[in-house]
Amino acid sequence: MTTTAPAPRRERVPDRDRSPAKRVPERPDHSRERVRGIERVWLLVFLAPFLLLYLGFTIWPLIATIYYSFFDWSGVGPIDDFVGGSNYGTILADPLFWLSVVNTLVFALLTTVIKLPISLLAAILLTRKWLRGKRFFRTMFFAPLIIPVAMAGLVFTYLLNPSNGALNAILRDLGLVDQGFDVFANRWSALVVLVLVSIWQIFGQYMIYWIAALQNVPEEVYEAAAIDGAGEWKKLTRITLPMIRPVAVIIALLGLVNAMHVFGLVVTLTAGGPGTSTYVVSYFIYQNAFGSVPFAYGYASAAALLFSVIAFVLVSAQGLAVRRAQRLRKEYGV
Amino acid sequence: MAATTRAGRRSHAVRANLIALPILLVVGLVWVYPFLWTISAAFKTQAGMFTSGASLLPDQLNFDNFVRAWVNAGFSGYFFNTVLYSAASTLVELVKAALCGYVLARYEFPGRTLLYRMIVGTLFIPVASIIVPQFVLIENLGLLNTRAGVILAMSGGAGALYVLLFVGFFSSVPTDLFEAAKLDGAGFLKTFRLILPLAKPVIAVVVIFQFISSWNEFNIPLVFTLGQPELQNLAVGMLSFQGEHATDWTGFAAGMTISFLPMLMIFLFFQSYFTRGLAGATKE
Amino acid sequence: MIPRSRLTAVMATTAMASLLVAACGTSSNQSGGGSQTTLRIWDFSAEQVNFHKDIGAQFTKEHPDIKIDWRSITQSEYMKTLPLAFQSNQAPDMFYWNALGLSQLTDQKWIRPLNPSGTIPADFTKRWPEGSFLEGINMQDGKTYGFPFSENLYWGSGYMFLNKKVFQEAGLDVNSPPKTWTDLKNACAQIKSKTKAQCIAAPTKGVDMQRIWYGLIGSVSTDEFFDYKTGKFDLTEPAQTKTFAFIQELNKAGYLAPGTNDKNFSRQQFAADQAGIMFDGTWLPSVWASQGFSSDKYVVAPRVNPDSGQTGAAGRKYDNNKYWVSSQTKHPDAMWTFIQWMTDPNGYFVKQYYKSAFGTLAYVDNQKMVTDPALRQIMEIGGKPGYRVQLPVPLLKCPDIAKSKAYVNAVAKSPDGEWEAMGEALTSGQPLESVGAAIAKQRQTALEEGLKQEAASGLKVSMDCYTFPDWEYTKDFTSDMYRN
Repeated sequence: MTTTAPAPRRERVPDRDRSPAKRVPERPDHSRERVRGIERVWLLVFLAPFLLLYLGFTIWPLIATIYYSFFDWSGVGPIDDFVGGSNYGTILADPLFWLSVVNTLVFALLTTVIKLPISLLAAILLTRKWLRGKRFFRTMFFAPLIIPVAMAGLVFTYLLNPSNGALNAILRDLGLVDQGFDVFANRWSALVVLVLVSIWQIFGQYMIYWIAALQNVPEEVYEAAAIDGAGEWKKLTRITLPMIRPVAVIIALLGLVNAMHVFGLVVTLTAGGPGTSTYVVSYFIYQNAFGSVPFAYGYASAAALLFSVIAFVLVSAQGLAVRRAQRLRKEYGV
Repeated sequence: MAATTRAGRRSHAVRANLIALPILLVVGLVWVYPFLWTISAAFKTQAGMFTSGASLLPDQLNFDNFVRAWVNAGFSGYFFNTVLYSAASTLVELVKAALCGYVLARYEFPGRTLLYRMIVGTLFIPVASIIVPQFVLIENLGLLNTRAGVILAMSGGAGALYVLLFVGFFSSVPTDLFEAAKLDGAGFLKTFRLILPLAKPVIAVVVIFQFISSWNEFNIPLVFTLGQPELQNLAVGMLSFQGEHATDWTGFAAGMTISFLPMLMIFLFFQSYFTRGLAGATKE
Repeated sequence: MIPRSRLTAVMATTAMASLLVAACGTSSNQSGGGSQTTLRIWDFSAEQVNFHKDIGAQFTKEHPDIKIDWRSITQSEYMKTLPLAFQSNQAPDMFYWNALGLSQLTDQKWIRPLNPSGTIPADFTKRWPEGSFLEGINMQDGKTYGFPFSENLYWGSGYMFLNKKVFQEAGLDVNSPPKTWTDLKNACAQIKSKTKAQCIAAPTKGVDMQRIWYGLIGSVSTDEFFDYKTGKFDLTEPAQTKTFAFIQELNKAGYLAPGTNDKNFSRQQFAADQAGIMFDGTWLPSVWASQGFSSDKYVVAPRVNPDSGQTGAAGRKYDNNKYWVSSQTKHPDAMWTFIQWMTDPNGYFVKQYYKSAFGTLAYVDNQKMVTDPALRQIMEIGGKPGYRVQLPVPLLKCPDIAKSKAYVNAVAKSPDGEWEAMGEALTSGQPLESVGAAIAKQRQTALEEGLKQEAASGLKVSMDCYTFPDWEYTKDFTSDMYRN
């Protein structure tokens, strides 16, 4: 993966004042400088805080986790019961793990393809100059994010309950159902509810990411395009989207990865049910490793790593496919 | 001539507002409704919360929940810790991500690509499952039961994403700006200080999200202050509403309602950072 | 735009302030000061926080040199943090732990004997009924490590709660509660037709399914997924499939409140007079009292039996040793003083505990002390012979079971498997035998294989330890029966 920004279709920008400070920003040039002399020291100083914390709190735990995954270890006491790959073997042979993987991927994919476009739409709308009350609306869409997951789960179990919940009251008033409808009694409706509630909660976060990304597009480019007579739609597809692509890739990746770690909502909304049909990977790990004492810390480590690898492979494969498609498109000039 | 186009643009804006505002208002109300429900639950009795269903009106204006939240969740004692943890970990997160992101975006050095790939790769690691090694580390540093230990652990794990955002931002800054700075005789540090304020949108993102996640974090403060409970934060205090046999949801809702304010304030303040950073710079 | 200089200034100030405070955090409050000893006690009973504060204060009044610092951590977090606390030498002086047996706790070196000398005086043991201190349960090598806290005759699940208001509206009498399955169906039919309320507030989400399950299965079969008579994990034996089919029948008829609810929801549904019947346990009166639903608004009744009569009972286990003295305590003498104080049958602790109706204690004359009407009804029901019976304990038959991990491992894999099978059967309408067979078989295989391996490595364990053919399901398996 690279940060190389794609070439935005060049709008003809009139050559006006060429003084550096006033110059219209051109397509960002990503040739990176090599550092010389004293700057090398600065480079190290700049990298040090991140590197130190990264080594301590990400790399070392990762190595430790890999190590634990080869042991039968409860998280306490000496790590001496080496079991080789048997933790991995048990997990791979467990049909419930694979069901969890499928559910997690379905969940991650659905939430991502829904939340990214609509939050982008909201972000574009909420950054329009002409719009009144931007601050108010942004806060409204942001608000669900600060509710802890346990509370969000409670609110929705109440609202969705078939006996006295708001949703069923509305459906009944509209004459759509005559009996209470239990959305959690069916795998697919339960998954859909999980997806929707998760989007509701996380929406504000992606909206903010998009708003921040949109600020990277210089106003002048739009003004120039307007002079050329480009409409709003053209501006969006020809300028905005290409310009925010480097960040968009990160946001999309993040959306997928975060969705793959879904846990709290599953605990509070479905508890994996009905039966085991809405198990997701993190819930599977939690149940089998921490659901009873003593903990199976080695097993949990193996399962977490295994899933990280699966997720990584899938996402990279998807990234490769997208890049290949783009290359092909360029070749054929589409 | 110019006046008429401006007037035309204005009437265009009025029309757009007339269409957009009602839609936004309706969608926004639906969106914010469960949030308001939580706040209204803070005023309800346990039975009232159950029977009022979808209604936002409390069965009675009940402030007992707030009293209970204040005492049980230990607001008086833990508020200071919570503010400190959130502010300090946000600051650490911001500094380290901005510095690293800047260097990664601007400079070529041996191992750059490897480091970048590693950061992307570790996004996939579920942070929740690595608390034991983190605990071992903090213990060996002798920082268990200290505020520094909590802050370090809070700001240690989650930085990869923020670095990527800064990389994304700094690499979209036009090279001309750097050239211009160089022509003015700015060195490494000076250039960074000139460019950094342009990253306000990213800074706002990091501050808002790191602040909120630290504010709601309970795992780290709980585990790292076992020996000195007075160092814990509000989120740990809020756990006291979940008992062995029952959960005090209205007390929980009241605690959260008090807790929402600082987070909303941070949001309201920093969302004003969402102005066009680059545009501002080039127009100076 | 915020001026850069101001931003930098704010950052710098915050950084300095936080560093200062962070540095100070270590030095402040190292100890209570002076000669006062502080005993730290941990549990996960958030409901009892105020009670614990109160008794701590009273104890310090009587023993000015000892302070009590009683802390409650939510159960799921507690289970995670206590091991870490032990690992990092910051364990409390006494802790609540009902997840592992004595042998695992001594194996992990988490506990020490109650009394600094190891042997406890007779006037202490006299506070409990005879047979309360057993080798392997709370004694090891003659030393006493635990004491029964809550008693296990009344304490448990499997009681039926009836809402007075709903029953009255339906024209039913709470004082002649349904006794058989048919009675239950008839009562439900009447509640459904005469009132707006639901009949049974039955949570069915995940493990909360156990409320109605224990409420019904207790009259049919004594095992909780493990049959000690035959030594088999079961979920698909006739007794269980019959009971589950009855639950499905209730569900189909609309007698279970709709929705996949959790226990909190169902309890509130009952307390809001929106359901007439609920199956739950001894803790419910104190839960409802804390939510403002007092015990004059409902009555407690026995479980309902199948029409053909009762064939089982609820199982009593030796799981009532709950507070353990930590191996890391630096004040074993003070701890022992406190334990003696809290287990004084006529002491302040007991009085306050019963005042809040938290439950029934093992070292108290409950007939004398219990005043809460609902708890009194529960005692009357649970005390009847054959309602709750003592289960056989493999450990008392084969001492080496203390070192065996086979059973623990067998139930650790998919710990909620039985409830999940039931959830699936209930929503899909399939019979329990088809969805439940896999989990029972998985556990049985794991147990048998595990025991075989352990036997091969020298432990004296076998499936025989888990089999008690002479046991009658509705009678206590008393300690003298292990000798045969």
